[in-house]
Amino acid sequence: MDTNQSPTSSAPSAPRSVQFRKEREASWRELEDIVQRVQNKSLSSLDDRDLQRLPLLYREAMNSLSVARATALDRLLVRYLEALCAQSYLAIYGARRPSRRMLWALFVAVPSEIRKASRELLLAILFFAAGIAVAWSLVDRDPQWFHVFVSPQMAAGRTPWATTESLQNTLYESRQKSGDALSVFASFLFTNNARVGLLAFSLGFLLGIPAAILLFYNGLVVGGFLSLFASRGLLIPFLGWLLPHGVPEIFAVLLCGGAGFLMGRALLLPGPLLRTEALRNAGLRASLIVTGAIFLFAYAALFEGFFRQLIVDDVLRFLVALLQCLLLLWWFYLSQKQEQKDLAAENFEQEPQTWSLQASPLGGGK
Amino acid sequence: MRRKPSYQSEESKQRTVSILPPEGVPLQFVLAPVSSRFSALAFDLLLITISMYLMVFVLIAIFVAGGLLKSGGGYALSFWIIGIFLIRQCYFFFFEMIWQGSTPGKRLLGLRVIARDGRPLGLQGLIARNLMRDIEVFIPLGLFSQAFQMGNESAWLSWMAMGWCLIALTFPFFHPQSMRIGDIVGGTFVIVIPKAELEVDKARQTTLARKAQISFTPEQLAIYGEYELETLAQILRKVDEDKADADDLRIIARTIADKIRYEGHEPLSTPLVFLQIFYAAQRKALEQKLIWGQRKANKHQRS
Repeated sequence: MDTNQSPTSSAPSAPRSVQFRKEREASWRELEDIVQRVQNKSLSSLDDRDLQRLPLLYREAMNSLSVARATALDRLLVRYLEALCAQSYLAIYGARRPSRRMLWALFVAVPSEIRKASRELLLAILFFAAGIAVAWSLVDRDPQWFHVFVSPQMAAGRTPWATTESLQNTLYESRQKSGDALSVFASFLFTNNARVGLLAFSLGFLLGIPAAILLFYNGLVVGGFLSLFASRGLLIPFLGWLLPHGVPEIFAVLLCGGAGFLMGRALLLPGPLLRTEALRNAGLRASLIVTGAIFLFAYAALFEGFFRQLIVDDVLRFLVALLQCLLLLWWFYLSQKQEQKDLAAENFEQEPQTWSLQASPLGGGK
Repeated sequence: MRRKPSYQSEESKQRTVSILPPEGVPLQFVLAPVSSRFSALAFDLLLITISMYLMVFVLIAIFVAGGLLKSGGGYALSFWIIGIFLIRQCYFFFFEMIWQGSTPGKRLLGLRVIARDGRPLGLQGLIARNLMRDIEVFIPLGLFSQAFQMGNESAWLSWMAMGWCLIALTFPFFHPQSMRIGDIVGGTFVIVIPKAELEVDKARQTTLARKAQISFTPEQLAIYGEYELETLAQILRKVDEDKADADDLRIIARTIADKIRYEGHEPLSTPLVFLQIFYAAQRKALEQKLIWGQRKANKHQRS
């Protein structure tokens, strides 16, 4: 067992790791200093020289770490190197500030995510439509049902016992309200709707059940109103009143529901993945969809708060609703074009556009 | 001299995750303990509350100064409604985005968010993990008051939602790594920011030790293994912190001398010098063998 031992090892001289450390300590200290500055501020606060040194020093430290792990018996040294490498790794790879390009990429990525989740979206439409159908048929048969589906605050006088004229007036009343009162209305609508939408998404991971309930419930409310106005022959004016803001708003509700189903499905049917991994994949996709939905909610609230009170012409209202549909389609078209462009670029460069583990942000390392 | 938590027990208490960077050397990160995550959250919630109040004062001040309160009071109200929504939804997201994965609370406690797959922290992951925060923190807080106060038809909805939220709330207690749902959905970890401190190497000889004529034969250095070496290193570190007792050192030195059959007066006369030189020699011998791929974990292992 002593065959490999050199005879000098019994003399009280320094172990190898002491020499090892002496040779490299200066560069570790330099890295420590640079990384500390990155931690306190950001990567962009470094000057050119340090920025050039950082990846070199980092690789050196990583090298030292793997050597130390294998050959050094100084636990403190190994721990120091582990911490130093971990810090530098975080400084280099940990986080990147979003650029304008990333935000644009996010904007055009939303519709393509929505298209990929079309099955979930279809399910969301189904639940919403079921809510409408159930409420419509029930209220049609017995107006008493209306109260079950629509709370008094929401009905605000629009009940089966109101006269047709008063119902008609609610559609066309151009409230002579000042802009600031309308802005309160709009902002309330936005936050309230967005909150409901977020709830549909975030509770969706529970097998999608809460998302289904929320969609169905919202469908019931819309169905109740539809049935009420249809029974007075006011269906077309009511749609004119609803659709200008309803197109983006209902679409956003459906999106949130779909995002919830996406998560629910990941939990229920993770496929070959671990449930954690499936949930993460679904969560990343769903978060994009929900972000899109939040902006739609904000946009819809502006229309609901201001536009609805200011424009009272049926034709104009339907035109605006059509415009909303076109805008949504344009968004989808934009995203598809960008996607094709990315795909073409990808084929050309033989390299994925997205960040992969092999590509280091500081160049090289492939 | 016996300080209860020796560092081995400290280390085993921590939960770590391993991440493989592109350089191919796996790195260990310490997962943030629940207690410090909770403190960070509490601090952030405090900041959120303060900033909400601050916003009210600023809005009032602006509108009073501009004489707009009568005509434009509605605008102030709508600013307030949207502002609260934005603060609530975006506070965590915003700071984690611009501050390398730390909110003020996390920074205070030395925590940060990283992506589970070792890639840079993406926007989507941050959005996802913070959207889920809604059902874990804010909504349960709000629902309690709502379910009791309103007493209207939609109270059943509140109660039901609260039931769901309870699942999310209690989730970390069942998860082996006590991750919250937001972390799972966003694909993130919350880790303790590592601190690198390089201490003086115990194997560097003091001048006193160099003068002493102590040497060991290869046979004497083939008895102990890495575990004993590390234990000795800990003892020597305690000497530096003035936590070691001279008598204890003497007993340790004698025990070692007996075990390796070292004959000489040093273990009794200058136990510290003996231990220091023995540590250096033992480490040198073990490291020498390590290069040849021979590990000796402890004294019971036969090489």
